[in-house]
Parts: sequence; C-alpha cells; structure tokens
Amino acid sequence: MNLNCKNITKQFGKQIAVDNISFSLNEPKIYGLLGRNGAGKTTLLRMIANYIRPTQGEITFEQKPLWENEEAQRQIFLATETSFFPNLKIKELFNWFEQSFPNFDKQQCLNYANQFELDINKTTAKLSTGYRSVMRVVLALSVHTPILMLDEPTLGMDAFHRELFYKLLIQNYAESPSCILLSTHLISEVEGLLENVIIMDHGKILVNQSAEELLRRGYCVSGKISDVDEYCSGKNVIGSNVVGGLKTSAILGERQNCSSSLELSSLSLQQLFVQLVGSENPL
Amino acid sequence: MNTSTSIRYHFNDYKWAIFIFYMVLLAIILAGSFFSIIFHELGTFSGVEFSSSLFIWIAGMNSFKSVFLFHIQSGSTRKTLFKGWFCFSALISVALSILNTLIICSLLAVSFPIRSPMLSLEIDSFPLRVLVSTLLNSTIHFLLIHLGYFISLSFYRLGTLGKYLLAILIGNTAILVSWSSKWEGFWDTIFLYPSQHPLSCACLYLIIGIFVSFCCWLMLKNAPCQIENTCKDILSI
Repeated sequence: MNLNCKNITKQFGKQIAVDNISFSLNEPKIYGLLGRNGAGKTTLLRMIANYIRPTQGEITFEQKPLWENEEAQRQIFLATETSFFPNLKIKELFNWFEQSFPNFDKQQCLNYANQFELDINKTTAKLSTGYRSVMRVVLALSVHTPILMLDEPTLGMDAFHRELFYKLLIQNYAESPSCILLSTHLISEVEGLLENVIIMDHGKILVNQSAEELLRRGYCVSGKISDVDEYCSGKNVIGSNVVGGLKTSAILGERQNCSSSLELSSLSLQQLFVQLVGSENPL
Repeated sequence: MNTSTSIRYHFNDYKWAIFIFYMVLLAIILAGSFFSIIFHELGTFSGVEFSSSLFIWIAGMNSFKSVFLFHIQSGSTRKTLFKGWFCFSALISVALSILNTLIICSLLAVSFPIRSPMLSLEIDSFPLRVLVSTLLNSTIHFLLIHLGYFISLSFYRLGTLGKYLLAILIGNTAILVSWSSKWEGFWDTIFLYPSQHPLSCACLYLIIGIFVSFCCWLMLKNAPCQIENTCKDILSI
C-alpha cells in the first residue's frame, strides 16, 4: 500500500485551499491530520478519495495515478460530515456497501450497529446528527479498506459513543492493521491513538512526524518572567503566556537543564498544536 | 462498485417511481372506462406513449446528483457510473416501451377505444407494426432520458450564474417555440414524420441520444463530488 501525494495544490477561484504539499502513506499506522478550521484538511482528504481533482500536482496509488483509478478507489474509504447517503433503510445501505467494497464485513457491521444501538430499520433521513455520525463510523469500521479516512468522525456523538468508537477503532486496527487518517478537532481525545501527526495550516503541512518524536521535542518552562526569558534565549520558542509575574513558554527542541527556580513539564499534543498553529516561528 | 452493481442500483432507484407511474396510468384507464360505461359515452383514450415519454424525461432530470454522490462515496469511478447509467437507460427505455406496447395491445384486444401513434404507422402487418412502434418508442425514451440527464448534469456543473443562464435559455426557447406561428408547420411535420418513416426516425433519435449521452460524459468525467455548490461563476470546477 503506497499512497503518494506530490506537490498537490487545490485552488477554488482565488482561494488556495491546499498549497503545494507532498507526503506519503506507506505503512499501516494511525495518522492524525490536525489543523485549524480552513487549514485544508477536508480538501486534502477529498482529493485522496477522488471526490475532487487537484489543480496541480499528482496523487498516485501503487505508482499509478489515483484519479479515476477503479482498483485504487475500492481500497480507499472516506467518511466525512458531508458524506451523502440515499434515503434508504440502513440495512439496505449495508447491502449496497457489501456489493461495493470487496472486504466489507456485513456481519461485523451489524454487530457494531447493535453495540451503538443503531436501529437498522430506520431510514438514513430520520437519523439525528449523532446517529448519522454513528452510521458513518459503523460503515467505516466495517469496510476494511487499506486506507481509511475519517473526517470528524465523532461529530455530534455523545461521550459514550465516542469512547465506544475509539475502543472499536483500536480493536479493529489491532486485528487488521491499515492506514487510518483521522482528522479531528478533539485532539485531547485522540492523542493516545495517534502514531503519526500531520499538522496543516493555511494549506501547507507544518509538521509531519511521529507523535512520540513530536511530543519529545516540545516542552514547557514556567517560572518568573526574567528567569524564563533568560532560559529561552536562543531557543525555538513557539508560544508564551504571562499571568501576573509568572511566565510559561512553550519550546520546541531538546530539553536542557534549568535552574531550580524553573519548572519543566511536557506539552500535550493539543497544547503543542495550539502553540504551533498560533506561533510566528512554526517548526 | 462495479458496472453491474451500478446498473442494479439505478434500477433500485427507479423501481418505485415506475411502479407508481403505471399504477396511476392503469387507474386512469379504469376510471375512464368506468365513467364511459356509467354515462354511456364512448370517448377514446390516448396518451400512453406521451405520458411515459414525459415521465422518463423528468425521471432523467432527477437521476443524477444523489446517484453520483453515492457512487463516488462507494468507491466507484465516474466512468463506472456512466457505464452503469448508459446501460440502465438503454434497458429502461426498452422496458418502458415494451410495457406501453403490452398495455395498448391488451386494451385493443378487449376492444377498448384507445388511440396510439402505433396505429398510425404506415405498415400493413400488425406484428411488424407493433415491433417497429416498440423500437421507435424505445429510441424516443432513450433520447428523452438522456436529455433530462443532460439538463440535470448541466445544473450540477454550472455555477450560480450559469444556472440562471441555462434556466433563462430553456424557458425562453420553450416560450418562443410555442408562441411563434412559424413553428406550427414545423411541429406538425415533426409529429407526422415518424409515422411515415419510423425506422429512420428511430435511428435519428438513437444517434441524437448517443450524442447527448457523450456530452453528459464530457461534463461528468471531471465533475467534483460536492453536496452544495456555492460557486458564483458560470462553471463550477
């Protein structure tokens, strides 16, 4: 499984949604695709899923162009908020998916629907926002495509369903590893799942590395303003916060020894993300 | 989704519409018979072919967007969608034509006062006339379903401004054609010609239908998959 995006750009009129980005998906991993609103995440996912064509650049799958590649399209599935499902009964929808995707496991799909308490005799139009998301994730967990893309999969879901989804996602991944590209704003919830992190901002990729490495390269230093400023001089400071006489700075780089008046702590992925996309000196 | 699944999906999308259409048609025929018996007035019934042509044109106009979106999301390519649609449209055109022929022949067999363009074909042999009429109606259906699909696809591909332009063009053309007395002779010829030259007309309709279908493919092959089109330009890319 080898998906390669090379210098792809997508422009809508004068607006550049994705700006000359390149990356590859070569091995089964859970990738987090993170970014602020309007960063270009959904546009990127839609290009990989063959929904829209890049304005420039090329996306290849197994060294063959992805656009209108029937063999490739059966190996990629995108579940997104704007996914369209015809007004059929959910069990009929499962039947069509069974005929569309070679590895679709209908029995597993019915089991997942049961776990999520999804009424398969209902039509798709009668589902609430949360249950539409449930339906999408039930289908996504059952298609077993080598590349699975989930764009805001938990939109509108209650906490119980979200936890159940994450649990089933991990279970599914452990049983049959695939390349999962998970795009979400709920970074704190998925931090433990992600193996690789891709952060987008204004159509460009800011970061593309393993979650472990990224988190290791960032840390916080807190203390008196003067002490923190002295410690931070010459380092890659990606953000600072001052409250009263205390300052907290987020730094990208290897941890270095500091005086006892300063406190070092780890950055969470969400904190790192916020600092990176809001920083004047992104990595 | 492969081509055969696509064809089955299209049939599934149409089945209830076709069923309801023919139920309504048969209900109207039965109601007409009932009232003619009650009031002892022997009128004639016509319009089976015209109503099915209108039905299939409108059905063609409603066949694109939802089917397209579902195909792309189900791992299908635009080429597969088009192949499925093309095969389905040919099959449904023939199927509706055969259904119409069966209805008319059944009504004729019970001496129901029905009129049909089939009866005005200049062919002596009745079986041959039925066959040629079925073929002619099939090609008319084929042309109309693709015209409807073309209009629907054009609206999908066009931006907001383009939609306004197309709507104005279609609306004004229809008004101009129906108001101008110069067109009356033209339309008389158009409607009488098939009864005199049914096979030539069938070929012509088939060729035009294939051409319209080809135009649909040109618009479809790079069509973006989007729920809402908010592009204000003439063309949505």
